[in-house]
Amino acid sequence: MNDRTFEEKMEQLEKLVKQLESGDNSLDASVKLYQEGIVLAKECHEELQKAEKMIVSLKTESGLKDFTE
Amino acid sequence: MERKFLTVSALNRYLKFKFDNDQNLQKILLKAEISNFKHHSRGHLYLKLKDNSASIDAVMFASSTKTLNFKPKDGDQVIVEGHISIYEPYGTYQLYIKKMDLDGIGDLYLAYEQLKEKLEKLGMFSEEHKKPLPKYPQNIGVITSPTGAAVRDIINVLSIRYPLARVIIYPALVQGVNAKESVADQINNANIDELVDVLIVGRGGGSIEDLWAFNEEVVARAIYASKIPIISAVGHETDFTIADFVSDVRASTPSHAAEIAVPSKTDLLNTISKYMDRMQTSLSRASEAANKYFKQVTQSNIIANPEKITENIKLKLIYLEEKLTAYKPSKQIEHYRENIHNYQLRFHQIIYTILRDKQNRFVSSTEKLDLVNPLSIMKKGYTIVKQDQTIKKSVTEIDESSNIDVEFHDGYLNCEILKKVVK
Repeated sequence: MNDRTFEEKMEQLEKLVKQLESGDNSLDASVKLYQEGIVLAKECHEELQKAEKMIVSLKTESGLKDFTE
Repeated sequence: MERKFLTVSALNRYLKFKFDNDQNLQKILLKAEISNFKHHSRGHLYLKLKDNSASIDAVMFASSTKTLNFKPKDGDQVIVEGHISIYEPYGTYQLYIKKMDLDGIGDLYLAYEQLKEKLEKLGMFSEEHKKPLPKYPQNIGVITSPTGAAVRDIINVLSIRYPLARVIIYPALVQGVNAKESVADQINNANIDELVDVLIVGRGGGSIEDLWAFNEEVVARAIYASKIPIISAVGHETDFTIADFVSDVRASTPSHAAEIAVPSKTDLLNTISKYMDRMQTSLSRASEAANKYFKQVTQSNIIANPEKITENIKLKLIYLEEKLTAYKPSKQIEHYRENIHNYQLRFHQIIYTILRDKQNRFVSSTEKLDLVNPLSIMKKGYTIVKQDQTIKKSVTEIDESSNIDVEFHDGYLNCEILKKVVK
Protein backbone atom coordinates (compact mmCIF):
# COMPACT_ATOMS: atom_id res chain seq x y z
CA MET A 1 0.00 0.00 0.00
CA ASN A 2 2.72 2.41 1.06
CA ASP A 3 4.89 1.43 -1.87
CA ARG A 4 2.63 3.43 -4.10
CA THR A 5 4.16 6.63 -5.39
CA PHE A 6 2.60 10.00 -4.69
CA GLU A 7 1.59 10.15 -8.33
CA GLU A 8 -0.20 6.78 -8.13
CA LYS A 9 -2.01 7.87 -4.99
CA MET A 10 -3.12 11.18 -6.47
CA GLU A 11 -4.34 9.46 -9.61
CA GLN A 12 -6.18 6.81 -7.60
CA LEU A 13 -7.75 9.55 -5.50
CA GLU A 14 -8.90 11.39 -8.59
CA LYS A 15 -10.40 8.15 -9.91
CA LEU A 16 -12.24 7.47 -6.65
CA VAL A 17 -13.70 10.97 -6.58
CA LYS A 18 -14.97 10.58 -10.13
CA GLN A 19 -16.38 7.12 -9.41
CA LEU A 20 -18.12 8.42 -6.30
CA GLU A 21 -19.53 11.33 -8.27
CA SER A 22 -20.87 9.06 -11.03
CA GLY A 23 -23.78 8.15 -8.71
CA ASP A 24 -23.91 4.56 -9.96
CA ASN A 25 -23.07 3.11 -6.57
CA SER A 26 -25.09 1.61 -3.77
CA LEU A 27 -24.85 3.32 -0.39
CA ASP A 28 -22.51 0.58 0.81
CA ALA A 29 -20.28 1.03 -2.21
CA SER A 30 -20.36 4.81 -1.77
CA VAL A 31 -19.35 4.52 1.87
CA LYS A 32 -16.51 2.19 0.86
CA LEU A 33 -15.34 4.56 -1.89
CA TYR A 34 -15.57 7.47 0.50
CA GLN A 35 -13.63 5.60 3.16
CA GLU A 36 -10.89 4.65 0.73
CA GLY A 37 -10.79 8.15 -0.72
CA ILE A 38 -10.45 9.86 2.63
CA VAL A 39 -7.62 7.53 3.64
CA LEU A 40 -5.81 8.31 0.38
CA ALA A 41 -6.41 12.04 0.69
CA LYS A 42 -5.00 11.97 4.21
CA GLU A 43 -1.98 9.98 3.07
CA CYS A 44 -1.24 12.41 0.24
CA HIS A 45 -1.76 15.36 2.53
CA GLU A 46 0.60 13.94 5.12
CA GLU A 47 3.19 12.98 2.55
CA LEU A 48 3.27 16.57 1.30
CA GLN A 49 3.31 18.06 4.79
CA LYS A 50 6.03 15.71 6.01
CA ALA A 51 8.39 16.22 3.09
CA GLU A 52 10.84 18.77 4.38
CA LYS A 53 14.28 18.54 2.91
CA MET A 54 14.68 17.67 -0.72
CA ILE A 55 17.42 15.18 -1.53
CA VAL A 56 19.94 16.61 -3.97
CA SER A 57 22.73 14.46 -5.42
CA LEU A 58 25.61 15.16 -7.73
CA LYS A 59 26.38 12.70 -10.50
CA THR A 60 30.11 11.98 -10.57
CA GLU A 61 32.37 9.49 -12.33
CA SER A 62 32.03 7.24 -9.29
CA GLY A 63 28.28 7.47 -8.95
CA LEU A 64 25.89 9.68 -7.00
CA LYS A 65 27.17 11.83 -4.16
CA ASP A 66 25.47 14.24 -1.78
CA PHE A 67 25.35 17.65 -3.29
CA THR A 68 26.40 20.54 -1.11
CA GLU A 69 26.50 24.07 -2.40
CA MET B 1 61.28 91.77 -26.56
CA GLU B 2 59.80 90.13 -23.66
CA ARG B 3 58.79 86.55 -24.23
CA LYS B 4 55.62 85.07 -22.74
CA PHE B 5 56.00 81.67 -21.03
CA LEU B 6 53.23 79.20 -20.50
CA THR B 7 53.13 76.86 -17.55
CA VAL B 8 52.98 73.13 -18.31
CA SER B 9 49.72 72.95 -16.44
CA ALA B 10 48.23 75.67 -18.56
CA LEU B 11 49.38 73.94 -21.73
CA ASN B 12 47.94 70.64 -20.71
CA ARG B 13 44.74 72.31 -19.66
CA TYR B 14 44.57 74.04 -23.03
CA LEU B 15 45.20 70.78 -24.89
CA LYS B 16 42.54 69.03 -22.87
CA PHE B 17 40.15 71.85 -23.71
CA LYS B 18 40.94 71.42 -27.43
CA PHE B 19 40.47 67.65 -27.32
CA ASP B 20 37.25 67.83 -25.32
CA ASN B 21 35.73 70.36 -27.69
CA ASP B 22 36.47 68.35 -30.83
CA GLN B 23 33.26 66.53 -31.73
CA ASN B 24 35.17 63.92 -33.77
CA LEU B 25 37.10 62.87 -30.68
CA GLN B 26 34.07 62.68 -28.43
CA LYS B 27 32.48 59.71 -30.14
CA ILE B 28 35.02 57.22 -31.38
CA LEU B 29 34.08 53.83 -32.78
CA LEU B 30 37.19 51.73 -33.15
CA LYS B 31 38.04 48.26 -34.39
CA ALA B 32 41.30 46.99 -32.88
CA GLU B 33 43.25 44.27 -31.09
CA ILE B 34 43.94 44.25 -27.36
CA SER B 35 47.51 44.21 -26.07
CA ASN B 36 49.28 45.01 -22.77
CA PHE B 37 46.02 44.23 -20.98
CA LYS B 38 46.10 44.97 -17.24
CA HIS B 39 43.28 44.51 -14.77
CA HIS B 40 43.81 47.08 -12.01
CA SER B 41 42.98 46.05 -8.46
CA ARG B 42 40.36 48.80 -8.29
CA GLY B 43 38.55 47.26 -11.22
CA HIS B 44 39.77 49.63 -13.94
CA LEU B 45 41.11 48.06 -17.11
CA TYR B 46 44.29 49.43 -18.74
CA LEU B 47 45.20 48.30 -22.23
CA LYS B 48 46.56 49.24 -25.59
CA LEU B 49 44.52 49.06 -28.72
CA LYS B 50 46.47 48.35 -31.86
CA ASP B 51 46.41 47.40 -35.48
CA ASN B 52 49.30 46.24 -37.65
CA SER B 53 51.18 49.51 -37.54
CA ALA B 54 49.94 51.69 -34.65
CA SER B 55 48.66 51.62 -31.09
CA ILE B 56 46.87 53.86 -28.60
CA ASP B 57 46.56 53.75 -24.81
CA ALA B 58 43.11 53.06 -23.50
CA VAL B 59 41.37 52.80 -20.16
CA MET B 60 38.03 51.36 -19.13
CA PHE B 61 36.86 52.45 -15.72
CA ALA B 62 35.29 49.98 -13.33
CA SER B 63 31.96 51.81 -13.63
CA SER B 64 31.80 50.95 -17.35
CA THR B 65 32.99 47.35 -17.10
CA LYS B 66 29.52 46.19 -15.97
CA THR B 67 28.40 46.18 -19.58
CA LEU B 68 31.24 43.83 -20.57
CA ASN B 69 30.02 40.56 -22.04
CA PHE B 70 33.41 38.85 -22.09
CA LYS B 71 36.72 38.72 -20.26
CA PRO B 72 39.10 40.80 -22.36
CA LYS B 73 42.59 39.48 -22.90
CA ASP B 74 45.57 40.18 -25.14
CA GLY B 75 44.90 39.30 -28.76
CA ASP B 76 41.12 39.77 -28.62
CA GLN B 77 39.67 41.49 -31.65
CA VAL B 78 37.31 44.09 -30.26
CA ILE B 79 34.94 46.85 -31.23
CA VAL B 80 35.29 49.80 -28.90
CA GLU B 81 33.16 52.85 -28.24
CA GLY B 82 34.51 55.83 -26.32
CA HIS B 83 36.13 59.26 -26.43
CA ILE B 84 39.67 60.72 -26.46
CA SER B 85 40.88 62.97 -23.70
CA ILE B 86 44.08 64.22 -22.12
CA TYR B 87 45.28 63.15 -18.73
CA GLU B 88 46.42 66.53 -17.53
CA PRO B 89 49.14 65.52 -15.02
CA TYR B 90 51.14 63.71 -17.72
CA GLY B 91 49.86 65.37 -20.84
CA THR B 92 49.13 61.96 -22.31
CA TYR B 93 46.08 61.31 -24.34
CA GLN B 94 44.16 58.10 -24.28
CA LEU B 95 40.94 56.46 -25.32
CA TYR B 96 38.36 56.29 -22.53
CA ILE B 97 36.35 53.15 -23.30
CA LYS B 98 32.61 53.27 -22.62
CA LYS B 99 31.67 50.00 -24.28
CA MET B 100 33.71 47.09 -25.62
CA ASP B 101 32.46 44.01 -27.48
CA LEU B 102 34.22 41.09 -29.03
CA ASP B 103 34.37 41.51 -32.79
CA GLY B 104 32.62 38.79 -34.73
CA ILE B 105 29.27 38.98 -32.97
CA GLY B 106 27.74 39.60 -36.35
CA ASP B 107 29.18 36.27 -37.44
CA LEU B 108 27.59 34.57 -34.42
CA TYR B 109 24.13 35.90 -35.33
CA LEU B 110 24.59 34.67 -38.87
CA ALA B 111 25.59 31.21 -37.62
CA TYR B 112 22.60 31.19 -35.28
CA GLU B 113 20.16 32.05 -38.07
CA GLN B 114 21.67 29.48 -40.42
CA LEU B 115 21.57 26.66 -37.86
CA LYS B 116 18.05 27.57 -36.82
CA GLU B 117 16.84 27.41 -40.40
CA LYS B 118 18.63 24.11 -41.02
CA LEU B 119 17.23 22.38 -37.91
CA GLU B 120 13.76 23.75 -38.52
CA LYS B 121 13.83 22.21 -42.01
CA LEU B 122 14.87 18.90 -40.46
CA GLY B 123 11.72 19.05 -38.33
CA MET B 124 13.63 19.25 -35.07
CA PHE B 125 11.37 21.99 -33.69
CA SER B 126 8.12 20.28 -34.63
CA GLU B 127 5.35 20.12 -32.04
CA GLU B 128 4.70 16.43 -32.75
CA HIS B 129 8.15 15.54 -31.52
CA LYS B 130 7.71 17.30 -28.20
CA LYS B 131 7.25 14.99 -25.22
CA PRO B 132 4.80 15.74 -22.41
CA LEU B 133 6.26 16.48 -18.98
CA PRO B 134 5.45 14.13 -16.08
CA LYS B 135 2.81 15.57 -13.75
CA TYR B 136 4.49 14.45 -10.52
CA PRO B 137 8.18 13.82 -11.29
CA GLN B 138 9.98 11.73 -8.69
CA ASN B 139 13.49 12.39 -9.97
CA ILE B 140 14.58 15.55 -11.66
CA GLY B 141 17.88 15.85 -13.52
CA VAL B 142 19.57 19.22 -13.74
CA ILE B 143 22.28 19.72 -16.34
CA THR B 144 24.16 22.90 -15.52
CA SER B 145 27.19 24.23 -13.71
CA PRO B 146 27.20 22.92 -10.11
CA THR B 147 28.61 26.24 -8.93
CA GLY B 148 26.45 28.76 -10.78
CA ALA B 149 23.49 30.81 -9.62
CA ALA B 150 21.22 28.76 -11.85
CA VAL B 151 21.65 25.54 -9.87
CA ARG B 152 20.92 27.37 -6.61
CA ASP B 153 17.79 28.98 -8.04
CA ILE B 154 16.53 25.66 -9.39
CA ILE B 155 17.13 23.77 -6.11
CA ASN B 156 15.50 26.59 -4.19
CA VAL B 157 12.32 26.67 -6.20
CA LEU B 158 12.04 22.87 -6.40
CA SER B 159 12.46 22.39 -2.67
CA ILE B 160 9.81 25.00 -1.88
CA ARG B 161 7.28 23.79 -4.42
CA TYR B 162 7.72 20.03 -4.33
CA PRO B 163 10.16 18.65 -1.74
CA LEU B 164 8.94 15.12 -2.53
CA ALA B 165 11.14 15.12 -5.62
CA ARG B 166 14.78 14.04 -5.67
CA VAL B 167 17.26 16.02 -7.68
CA ILE B 168 20.31 14.74 -9.51
CA ILE B 169 22.74 17.32 -10.78
CA TYR B 170 24.67 16.41 -13.90
CA PRO B 171 27.53 18.89 -13.71
CA ALA B 172 28.39 20.49 -17.02
CA LEU B 173 30.54 23.28 -18.32
CA VAL B 174 28.15 25.93 -19.53
CA GLN B 175 30.55 28.36 -21.16
CA GLY B 176 33.82 28.19 -23.03
CA VAL B 177 34.95 26.04 -25.92
CA ASN B 178 34.24 22.71 -24.20
CA ALA B 179 30.77 23.63 -23.02
CA LYS B 180 28.85 22.26 -26.00
CA GLU B 181 30.34 18.76 -25.68
CA SER B 182 29.99 18.84 -21.90
CA VAL B 183 26.26 19.69 -22.06
CA ALA B 184 25.57 17.22 -24.89
CA ASP B 185 27.46 14.44 -23.06
CA GLN B 186 25.49 14.95 -19.85
CA ILE B 187 22.19 14.83 -21.77
CA ASN B 188 23.31 11.51 -23.23
CA ASN B 189 24.53 10.27 -19.83
CA ALA B 190 21.21 11.07 -18.19
CA ASN B 191 19.50 9.05 -20.92
CA ILE B 192 21.84 6.12 -20.33
CA ASP B 193 21.39 6.30 -16.52
CA GLU B 194 17.60 6.46 -16.77
CA LEU B 195 17.47 7.82 -13.23
CA VAL B 196 15.31 10.88 -13.87
CA ASP B 197 11.83 11.56 -15.25
CA VAL B 198 12.57 15.04 -16.53
CA LEU B 199 15.65 17.11 -17.31
CA ILE B 200 16.28 20.80 -16.83
CA VAL B 201 19.12 21.94 -19.09
CA GLY B 202 20.46 25.44 -18.84
CA ARG B 203 22.39 28.19 -17.17
CA GLY B 204 21.98 31.71 -15.86
CA GLY B 205 22.18 34.88 -17.87
CA GLY B 206 25.24 36.06 -19.74
CA SER B 207 26.45 37.47 -23.02
CA ILE B 208 25.58 35.87 -26.30
CA GLU B 209 29.03 34.25 -26.24
CA ASP B 210 28.41 32.89 -22.75
CA LEU B 211 25.20 31.25 -23.88
CA TRP B 212 26.68 30.03 -27.13
CA ALA B 213 26.94 26.36 -26.19
CA PHE B 214 23.15 26.27 -26.28
CA ASN B 215 23.22 27.44 -29.89
CA GLU B 216 25.43 24.57 -31.01
CA GLU B 217 24.20 21.77 -33.22
CA VAL B 218 25.68 19.02 -31.03
CA VAL B 219 23.59 20.24 -28.07
CA ALA B 220 20.47 20.59 -30.22
CA ARG B 221 20.88 17.03 -31.49
CA ALA B 222 21.43 15.64 -27.99
CA ILE B 223 18.21 17.34 -26.85
CA TYR B 224 16.34 16.05 -29.87
CA ALA B 225 17.57 12.48 -29.26
CA SER B 226 16.74 12.51 -25.55
CA LYS B 227 14.03 10.06 -24.47
CA ILE B 228 13.67 12.03 -21.23
CA PRO B 229 11.60 15.20 -21.63
CA ILE B 230 13.73 18.33 -21.45
CA ILE B 231 12.97 21.81 -20.17
CA SER B 232 15.45 24.36 -21.48
CA ALA B 233 16.36 27.21 -19.16
CA VAL B 234 18.97 29.41 -20.75
CA GLY B 235 19.70 32.94 -19.61
CA HIS B 236 16.95 35.49 -19.24
CA GLU B 237 13.44 36.00 -20.55
CA THR B 238 14.74 37.66 -23.73
CA ASP B 239 17.35 35.04 -24.63
CA PHE B 240 16.18 32.57 -27.24
CA THR B 241 18.63 29.82 -28.05
CA ILE B 242 18.48 26.90 -30.46
CA ALA B 243 18.20 24.64 -27.39
CA ASP B 244 14.94 26.43 -26.52
CA PHE B 245 13.43 25.58 -29.90
CA VAL B 246 14.40 21.88 -29.77
CA SER B 247 13.55 21.21 -26.15
CA ASP B 248 10.11 19.96 -25.13
CA VAL B 249 9.35 23.05 -23.08
CA ARG B 250 11.16 26.37 -23.00
CA ALA B 251 11.48 28.14 -19.66
CA SER B 252 12.41 31.80 -19.57
CA THR B 253 14.83 31.38 -16.64
CA PRO B 254 16.23 28.54 -14.50
CA SER B 255 13.78 29.39 -11.67
CA HIS B 256 10.92 29.32 -14.15
CA ALA B 257 12.09 25.88 -15.35
CA ALA B 258 11.84 24.61 -11.79
CA GLU B 259 8.31 26.00 -11.55
CA ILE B 260 7.32 24.25 -14.76
CA ALA B 261 8.94 20.96 -13.73
CA VAL B 262 6.91 20.33 -10.56
CA PRO B 263 3.45 20.99 -9.18
CA SER B 264 3.27 23.29 -6.18
CA LYS B 265 2.69 21.87 -2.72
CA THR B 266 0.11 24.58 -1.96
CA ASP B 267 -1.86 23.83 -5.12
CA LEU B 268 -1.76 20.11 -4.36
CA LEU B 269 -3.00 20.61 -0.81
CA ASN B 270 -5.86 22.67 -2.24
CA THR B 271 -6.66 19.99 -4.78
CA ILE B 272 -6.72 17.33 -2.06
CA SER B 273 -9.09 19.34 0.11
CA LYS B 274 -11.34 19.95 -2.91
CA TYR B 275 -11.39 16.20 -3.54
CA MET B 276 -12.41 15.68 0.09
CA ASP B 277 -15.28 18.17 -0.29
CA ARG B 278 -16.43 16.51 -3.48
CA MET B 279 -16.43 13.09 -1.83
CA GLN B 280 -18.46 14.45 1.08
CA THR B 281 -21.04 15.89 -1.30
CA SER B 282 -21.26 12.64 -3.24
CA LEU B 283 -21.72 10.63 -0.09
CA SER B 284 -24.53 12.94 1.04
CA ARG B 285 -26.20 12.46 -2.31
CA ALA B 286 -25.83 8.69 -2.07
CA SER B 287 -27.34 8.59 1.40
CA GLU B 288 -30.23 10.79 0.30
CA ALA B 289 -30.92 8.36 -2.52
CA ALA B 290 -30.78 5.54 -0.02
CA ASN B 291 -33.22 7.39 2.22
CA LYS B 292 -35.69 7.67 -0.61
CA TYR B 293 -35.34 3.97 -1.24
CA PHE B 294 -35.93 3.22 2.45
CA LYS B 295 -39.08 5.29 2.35
CA GLN B 296 -40.44 3.33 -0.56
CA VAL B 297 -39.67 0.03 1.08
CA THR B 298 -41.04 1.01 4.46
CA GLN B 299 -44.22 2.39 2.97
CA SER B 300 -45.01 -0.87 1.24
CA ASN B 301 -44.20 -3.14 4.17
CA ILE B 302 -45.17 -0.99 7.06
CA ILE B 303 -48.51 -2.64 7.83
CA ALA B 304 -47.29 -6.16 7.32
CA ASN B 305 -44.21 -6.02 9.49
CA PRO B 306 -43.61 -2.69 11.14
CA GLU B 307 -41.31 -3.89 13.89
CA LYS B 308 -39.07 -5.74 11.43
CA ILE B 309 -38.53 -2.59 9.44
CA THR B 310 -37.60 -0.55 12.46
CA GLU B 311 -35.22 -3.29 13.34
CA ASN B 312 -33.65 -3.20 9.89
CA ILE B 313 -33.32 0.54 9.96
CA LYS B 314 -31.87 0.41 13.42
CA LEU B 315 -29.31 -2.14 12.27
CA LYS B 316 -28.58 -0.04 9.21
CA LEU B 317 -28.25 3.01 11.40
CA ILE B 318 -25.86 1.25 13.74
CA TYR B 319 -23.87 0.04 10.77
CA LEU B 320 -23.79 3.47 9.19
CA GLU B 321 -23.08 5.21 12.44
CA GLU B 322 -20.06 2.98 12.94
CA LYS B 323 -18.80 3.67 9.46
CA LEU B 324 -19.61 7.32 9.45
CA THR B 325 -18.40 8.18 12.92
CA ALA B 326 -15.03 6.82 11.88
CA TYR B 327 -14.85 9.72 9.43
CA LYS B 328 -17.09 12.12 11.28
CA PRO B 329 -19.75 12.93 8.76
CA SER B 330 -21.79 13.93 11.77
CA LYS B 331 -24.32 15.70 9.59
CA GLN B 332 -25.15 12.39 7.94
CA ILE B 333 -25.75 10.67 11.23
CA GLU B 334 -27.96 13.52 12.35
CA HIS B 335 -29.83 13.19 9.12
CA TYR B 336 -30.40 9.46 9.66
CA ARG B 337 -31.44 10.03 13.22
CA GLU B 338 -34.03 12.50 12.10
CA ASN B 339 -35.31 10.05 9.56
CA ILE B 340 -35.57 7.28 12.09
CA HIS B 341 -37.42 9.62 14.38
CA ASN B 342 -39.85 10.47 11.59
CA TYR B 343 -40.38 6.83 10.80
CA GLN B 344 -41.07 6.06 14.42
CA LEU B 345 -43.60 8.87 14.58
CA ARG B 346 -45.26 7.50 11.52
CA PHE B 347 -45.36 3.96 12.89
CA HIS B 348 -47.01 5.28 16.00
CA GLN B 349 -49.58 7.07 13.91
CA ILE B 350 -50.30 4.01 11.88
CA ILE B 351 -50.58 1.75 14.89
CA TYR B 352 -52.82 4.33 16.50
CA THR B 353 -54.98 4.38 13.38
CA ILE B 354 -55.27 0.62 13.46
CA LEU B 355 -56.21 0.67 17.09
CA ARG B 356 -58.78 3.37 16.60
CA ASP B 357 -60.25 1.46 13.71
CA LYS B 358 -60.58 -1.61 15.91
CA GLN B 359 -62.10 0.47 18.65
CA ASN B 360 -64.65 1.92 16.27
CA ARG B 361 -65.54 -1.49 15.11
CA PHE B 362 -65.94 -2.57 18.71
CA VAL B 363 -68.25 0.31 19.45
CA SER B 364 -70.48 -0.42 16.52
CA SER B 365 -70.55 -4.09 17.50
CA THR B 366 -71.62 -3.23 21.03
CA GLU B 367 -74.35 -1.05 19.58
CA LYS B 368 -75.59 -4.00 17.63
CA LEU B 369 -75.40 -6.14 20.73
CA ASP B 370 -77.33 -3.51 22.56
CA LEU B 371 -80.29 -4.05 20.30
CA VAL B 372 -80.65 -7.59 21.56
CA ASN B 373 -79.84 -6.79 25.18
CA PRO B 374 -82.87 -7.79 27.31
CA LEU B 375 -82.42 -4.71 29.46
CA SER B 376 -83.04 -2.53 26.40
CA ILE B 377 -86.18 -4.45 25.65
CA MET B 378 -87.35 -4.07 29.26
CA LYS B 379 -86.91 -0.30 28.90
CA LYS B 380 -89.66 -0.47 26.32
CA GLY B 381 -92.08 -1.94 28.93
CA TYR B 382 -91.32 -5.61 29.00
CA THR B 383 -90.85 -7.31 32.39
CA ILE B 384 -89.46 -10.60 33.52
CA VAL B 385 -91.32 -12.86 35.88
CA LYS B 386 -89.22 -15.00 38.21
CA GLN B 387 -90.17 -17.56 40.84
CA ASP B 388 -87.49 -19.08 43.02
CA GLN B 389 -84.85 -17.17 41.04
CA THR B 390 -85.81 -18.82 37.76
CA ILE B 391 -87.34 -17.02 34.77
CA LYS B 392 -90.85 -18.23 34.03
CA LYS B 393 -91.86 -18.29 30.43
CA SER B 394 -95.42 -19.67 30.93
CA VAL B 395 -98.27 -19.25 33.39
CA THR B 396 -98.37 -23.01 33.74
CA GLU B 397 -94.91 -22.99 35.31
CA ILE B 398 -96.09 -20.74 38.16
CA ASP B 399 -96.83 -22.19 41.59
CA GLU B 400 -99.81 -20.21 42.92
CA SER B 401 -98.89 -20.82 46.56
CA SER B 402 -95.72 -18.74 46.56
CA ASN B 403 -94.83 -15.21 45.59
CA ILE B 404 -93.35 -14.16 42.25
CA ASP B 405 -90.83 -11.44 41.38
CA VAL B 406 -91.70 -9.09 38.51
CA GLU B 407 -88.48 -7.51 37.27
CA PHE B 408 -88.36 -4.13 35.53
CA HIS B 409 -85.21 -2.71 34.06
CA ASP B 410 -84.86 -0.55 37.16
CA GLY B 411 -86.11 -2.82 39.92
CA TYR B 412 -88.59 -5.55 40.84
CA LEU B 413 -91.90 -6.17 42.66
CA ASN B 414 -92.52 -9.09 44.96
CA CYS B 415 -96.18 -10.02 44.29
CA GLU B 416 -98.79 -12.40 45.74
CA ILE B 417 -100.80 -14.38 43.21
CA LEU B 418 -104.54 -13.74 43.55
CA LYS B 419 -105.68 -15.78 40.59
CA LYS B 420 -104.14 -17.96 37.88
CA VAL B 421 -105.78 -18.22 34.47
CA VAL B 422 -104.49 -20.51 31.76
CA LYS B 423 -105.56 -19.54 28.26
